Amino acid sequence: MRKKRIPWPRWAKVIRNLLLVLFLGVFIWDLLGKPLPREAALRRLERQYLIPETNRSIEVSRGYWSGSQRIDWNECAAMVSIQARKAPPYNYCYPIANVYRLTEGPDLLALPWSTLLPGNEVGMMDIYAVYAAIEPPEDSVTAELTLHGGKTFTASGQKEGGIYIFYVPSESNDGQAAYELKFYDADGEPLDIVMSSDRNGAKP
Amino acid sequence: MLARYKWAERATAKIRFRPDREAVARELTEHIQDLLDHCGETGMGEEAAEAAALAAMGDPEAIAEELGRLHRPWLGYLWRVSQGLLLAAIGVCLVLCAIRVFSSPRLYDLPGWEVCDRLTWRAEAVIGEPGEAEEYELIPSGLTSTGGYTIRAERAVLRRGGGPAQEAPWWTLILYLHIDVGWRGEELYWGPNVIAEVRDSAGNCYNNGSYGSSRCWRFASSSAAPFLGQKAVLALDGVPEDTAWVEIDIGYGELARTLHITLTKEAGT
Repeated sequence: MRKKRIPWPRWAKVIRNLLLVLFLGVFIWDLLGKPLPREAALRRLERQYLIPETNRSIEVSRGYWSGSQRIDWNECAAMVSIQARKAPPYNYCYPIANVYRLTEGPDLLALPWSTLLPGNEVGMMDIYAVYAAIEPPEDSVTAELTLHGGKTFTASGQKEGGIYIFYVPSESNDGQAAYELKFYDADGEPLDIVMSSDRNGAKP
Repeated sequence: MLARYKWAERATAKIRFRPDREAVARELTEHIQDLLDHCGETGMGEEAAEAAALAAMGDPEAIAEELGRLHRPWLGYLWRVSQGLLLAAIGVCLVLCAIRVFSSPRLYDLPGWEVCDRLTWRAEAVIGEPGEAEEYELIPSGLTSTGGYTIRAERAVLRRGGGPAQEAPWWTLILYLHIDVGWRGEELYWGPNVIAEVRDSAGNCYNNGSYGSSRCWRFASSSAAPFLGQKAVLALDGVPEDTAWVEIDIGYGELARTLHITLTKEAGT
């Protein structure tokens, strides 16, 4: 005679169902592309690029475009990221990043995403390329960036969160231009000058 | 006849979880029917038999109290919730798998497939198929670990390529690497953001092709799967045929490492 199968007690069925839900939940998370909250996603990007955990960060606005560029950096590397959105049906945000190898002393980063700001003419918008000077001299109060491309352009930096941000109109921006980066103290005396010929520069 | 159902209803009134209440009521009703059948065999009338059977069952209020105490509702509700969650999870999985398969039918998009694929997958798009070019195998040896990843050289092929006619034969060294990604399964972004410098035993340095130099490196890598790992390829163009080793500097700061790969010719080559 065939042995009658003993039915599982209800509590065992509950545990079995919840374990299966947990397992399928992990599988679903993997199918979705392993989404994480922003900070955790950035830490994951650092691991994937073999960057030691960054300890400083700053958000750089994209002006009239939504969102911002976030710069995370430490002594050896900088990571610039923005939040992108996955296509439907997934539809969640995740960071995409450019990574820069830093050298000793100030480094100039050409940020990969531009900014939309009011232009020179009233009522007009202009696209600006954004540069960031990382690790400026501590005593510096102002900074000046000169690009020697098709034409020479000089921009003053805005100090935010310990770094200088420069906005360069797109028509004056040549991604391969040689540059001079000058830092001044409170009395206007030059503290440091960094030239692109001194180093390869921080390139992504 | 209705009396037995009313009795069963009163006896199960304190069982708050409805599926349990209905199941117990059914069981009690069947038990009453058994008693009725037994009473019927003794020659009693139907109404008398039913009254006797219900009397034999006992006080329905007292039974209701006892059954209410025994049948806790929370486990029943939890069971229903777990069933609902399981059905929802299965449904979501099926939908996502269908989206994955129909929107991008390449098998390479399934988790872990690329890693298990022993062919050269998308690396062929970077390094080209063997074709009729002269090539032979070398025995690579070398591994390094950093940041939770272990990178190991699995295979090395030296392939003769076309070069400027007045120069010596032009060789490309193709290194096949396995990257152990551990339980996390996070893909290492093998490429110019991770690779700092590549050099060989002759003192040559290779760039990633952005400076138009004659010596450059090309790369490709698969996605990663937990415990299965990740595959990567590095092709060095313009490498001397008798290269004894290559070194690859990877990572940043305290995570920076050098992968030193010794190359030995196979016996008979």
